[in-house]
Amino acid sequence: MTGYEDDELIDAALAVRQNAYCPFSKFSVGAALIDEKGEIHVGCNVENSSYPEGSCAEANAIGAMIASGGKRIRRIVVAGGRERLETCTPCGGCRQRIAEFSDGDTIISIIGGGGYANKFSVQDLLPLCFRLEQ
Amino acid sequence: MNTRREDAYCPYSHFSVGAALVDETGHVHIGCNVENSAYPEGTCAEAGAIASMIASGARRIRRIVVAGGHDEIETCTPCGGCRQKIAEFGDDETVIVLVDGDGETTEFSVDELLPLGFRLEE
Repeated sequence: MTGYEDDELIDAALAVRQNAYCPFSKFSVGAALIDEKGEIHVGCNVENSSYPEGSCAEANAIGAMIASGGKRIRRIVVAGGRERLETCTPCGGCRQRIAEFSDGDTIISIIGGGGYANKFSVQDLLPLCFRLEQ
Repeated sequence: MNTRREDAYCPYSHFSVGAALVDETGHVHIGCNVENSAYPEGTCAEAGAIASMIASGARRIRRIVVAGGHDEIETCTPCGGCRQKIAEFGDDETVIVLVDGDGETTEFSVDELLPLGFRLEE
C-alpha cells in the first residue's frame, strides 16, 4: 500500500486519464511513470475505429519517456475504469512493454476502485518474461 | 508444430516461433510468427493460431504449445501480448505448454503466466 492522497504520480495518472480517447470501450485509463532521472511521463489510452490500432495508456507513457531520453521505469502507476475507477491491471502487452524498460526494482502500482495502490514487481505480473537475447 | 515454425516469416529477428493449439472440439490449429518491415505490425505465432481457431468457428483453447528460437529451439515463453490473447479464449483448465532448448516441456495455467489478468467486464 502507498499513500494515496499525497502521491504525485497517482495524481498525474488520474489527471491524464481525463484526456483519454476511448469512445469505443468507454474505459479510460491513465498512466504515469517516473524515470531514472526523476522525471514524470504520462499517457492515456487512445483508441481507434480500427480497434487494434489503438494504444494503451502505459504504452504512451513509455513512448513519452523514451522520446525525452529517459531509459528506465522506476515506478509506474495505472488507473482506469469506465466512469469510476475500477481495478485495472495492465494488459499482457503492456506488461511486456513495461518489462522492456524495467529492472528488479521497478514498481507497478495499480489503483483499485477504492483508491488504493497495490505494488507489484514486473516479475509478479509477468513471470518467465519473454526476452529476445541479442 | 515444428513444421509451422519452419514456415515462420522472421527476416528481422531471425527468431522463428511455432504455435499449435487444440480447441474445444478437438481440432488443431497452428500458427507461426509473421514479421513486417513496420515491426509492430508483425504478428506472433500464438496470435496466428488463435486467429485460425476463431476463423474455424471454435472459441476455447484447451491446450496450446509454443516453441521458438533462433536456429535451435530455445526457451521461448509467450510474450505478454500473447498471454493476453490466450487469456481471452482460455479458462482455468487451459494448459500452456512451453518447450525448452532440451526439448523438455513445462505446463502452465493462464493464471500462472498472467496473474491478475486484465479483463473488460461487459
